[in-house]
Amino acid sequence: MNTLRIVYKNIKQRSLSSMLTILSVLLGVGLVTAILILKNESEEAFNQAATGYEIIVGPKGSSLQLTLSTVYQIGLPIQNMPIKVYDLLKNDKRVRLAIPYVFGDNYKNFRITGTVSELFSEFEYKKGIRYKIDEGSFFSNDFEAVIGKEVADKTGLKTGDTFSGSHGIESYEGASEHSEKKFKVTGILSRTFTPSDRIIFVSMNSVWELHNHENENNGSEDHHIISDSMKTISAVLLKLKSPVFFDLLRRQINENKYEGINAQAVLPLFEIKQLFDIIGNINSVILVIAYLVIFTAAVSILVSIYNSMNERMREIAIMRSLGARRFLIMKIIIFEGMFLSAAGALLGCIAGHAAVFFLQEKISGLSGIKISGFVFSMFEVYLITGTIILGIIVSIIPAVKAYRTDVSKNLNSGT
Amino acid sequence: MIKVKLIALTAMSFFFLMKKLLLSLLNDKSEMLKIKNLKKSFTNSKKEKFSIINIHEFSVNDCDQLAVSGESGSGKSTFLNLISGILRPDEGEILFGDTDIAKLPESRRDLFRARNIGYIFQTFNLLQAFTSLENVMLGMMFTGRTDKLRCIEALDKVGLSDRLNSKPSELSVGEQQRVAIARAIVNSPALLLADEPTANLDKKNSGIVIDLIKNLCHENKIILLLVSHEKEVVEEFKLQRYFSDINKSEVLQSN
Repeated sequence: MNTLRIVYKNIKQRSLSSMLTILSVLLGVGLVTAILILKNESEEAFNQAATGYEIIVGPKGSSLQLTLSTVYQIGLPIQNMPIKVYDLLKNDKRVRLAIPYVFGDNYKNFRITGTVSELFSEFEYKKGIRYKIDEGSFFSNDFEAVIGKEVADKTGLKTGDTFSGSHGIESYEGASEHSEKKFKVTGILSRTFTPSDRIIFVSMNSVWELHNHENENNGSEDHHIISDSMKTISAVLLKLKSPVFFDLLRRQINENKYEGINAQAVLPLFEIKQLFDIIGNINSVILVIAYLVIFTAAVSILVSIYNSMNERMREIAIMRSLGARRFLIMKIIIFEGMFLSAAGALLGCIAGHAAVFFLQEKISGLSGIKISGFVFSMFEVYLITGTIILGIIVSIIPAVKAYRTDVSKNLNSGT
Repeated sequence: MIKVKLIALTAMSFFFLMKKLLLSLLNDKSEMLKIKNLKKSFTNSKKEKFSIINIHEFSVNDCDQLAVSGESGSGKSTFLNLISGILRPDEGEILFGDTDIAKLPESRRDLFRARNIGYIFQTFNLLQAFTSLENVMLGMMFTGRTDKLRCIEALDKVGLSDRLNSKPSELSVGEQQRVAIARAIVNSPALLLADEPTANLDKKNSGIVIDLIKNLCHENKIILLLVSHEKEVVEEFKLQRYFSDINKSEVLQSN
């Protein structure tokens, strides 16, 4: 028999009240944990997805729309621009690497993106890391496709399989299929944990030809010859030779002083930062609410223990009559508060991670980024410690009441 | 002649000393609990102060089993609470051996009570969430010791070795009081205070409990101070006193 055993027995004796108290702490801590994981991991994932290049050049319009549609495959792309933009940028001496993207159709909601083979041979999606093939090979001909890992997992496509794209970048009911032209899967990319896992990469010609064919169906004469006007792109990702060129190149393009092209150049990391600044404010509001939930939970510990004091006066008096010192009684009550808050905090932390884990598919589907839910941060240690300290602080009030228990009055043994 | 007188005187002195020694050995009893000028008063809700305890002198010898009878509300429980150190007197001495309990600071009084005094209550005062064994172990915990075997032994002595893991709600009232007795004797106290220990028991259980308390105190050389308003219970003891003879408080006078 020791102090902890007495604490355990007291909590067990009031199991319903104790469980509800733990649950209220769990909800508060779980909410804070989930918000923090989502905030930290999504910010990191978004930033990582945009680290392979410094500038995105695309048609004029919303810079955030251009970034989101190009890097994260979120939302609709802005209009296309002529291939000339890519040709010019590719040959610019300040540019180390230029990768064009042309968004065509979709296959089961996964975007079919036309690009060049340099994406696989030269482009580093993270510093020092290039795309790798899990099975098969990169495409070398038109109407060959390299699919991201998630595309393979979700659609069941394997190397050698063929498929037809549906019109539009997202599937919708009644969407027409390009059944006359089928893509053949030549390779599946290794998982990158970036939005690329959700992309079907094909050659730009394939996308153009498919749409040229569409025109032919609409009356055009020869669909094998693609007119220059059909050769359009959605965006160009740029890796520069030196950061000193950033500003000048960006200004030239944005001020329409770059070879007469009408386009915009955006810094994806800057756009993402701005986006997170906006989301950050919402996050702060949610966090404040979550902290209030924790505070309310702490008050519930106080109420739970304090309310039980009246029925416990006799128990305390009995223990005191057996020789328990006042401070030991105080210690028991404070330990109870500490245990309830610790249990709630630890379970809340686990619940927060579990919630993110179970939501990761949904998040990935909406944003294209992968959040594991199993990344632990130092903040969680502070959160748990803080909650326990709060539990101790609030239990001091009933502990003082226990300390002051009138033993002879509460022994109820007659006078 | 002088020589004879000296021898006779020496022999008489030796005989006298031996007699005294033998008598002291045969009658090995000293005053273990001694109370002098003990006073305790309370203030009621109208802020009126009234005296409940006023004892000029009271003592119990080693190994005595004393039953004190008195009416309900006469201050018997207060009297026991003062002896146990749960309450502090307004003035007076409560000498337990050489220790004046009244002068000890609260924390030392608590420890002294845990180590030297066993207490049995009218309402048993068992903790409902704990088993019989845990209730007895709780009685030992506050002395700073833990000896599970000793607690099992104590329960065995009161005939409850088969109810170690039963909670108070699973026991009869007689059994509950026996658990309380085991808890009171587990630390081998020098003094056992029993406050109306049979008030909640039927006649049969009352007899069993009184016999058990008396026998355990006798076997373990524990002083027993029992208070009761029940005449039949008090008559079970050789040493009996009326509380009104001990306590001269005004409340008592009015009662």
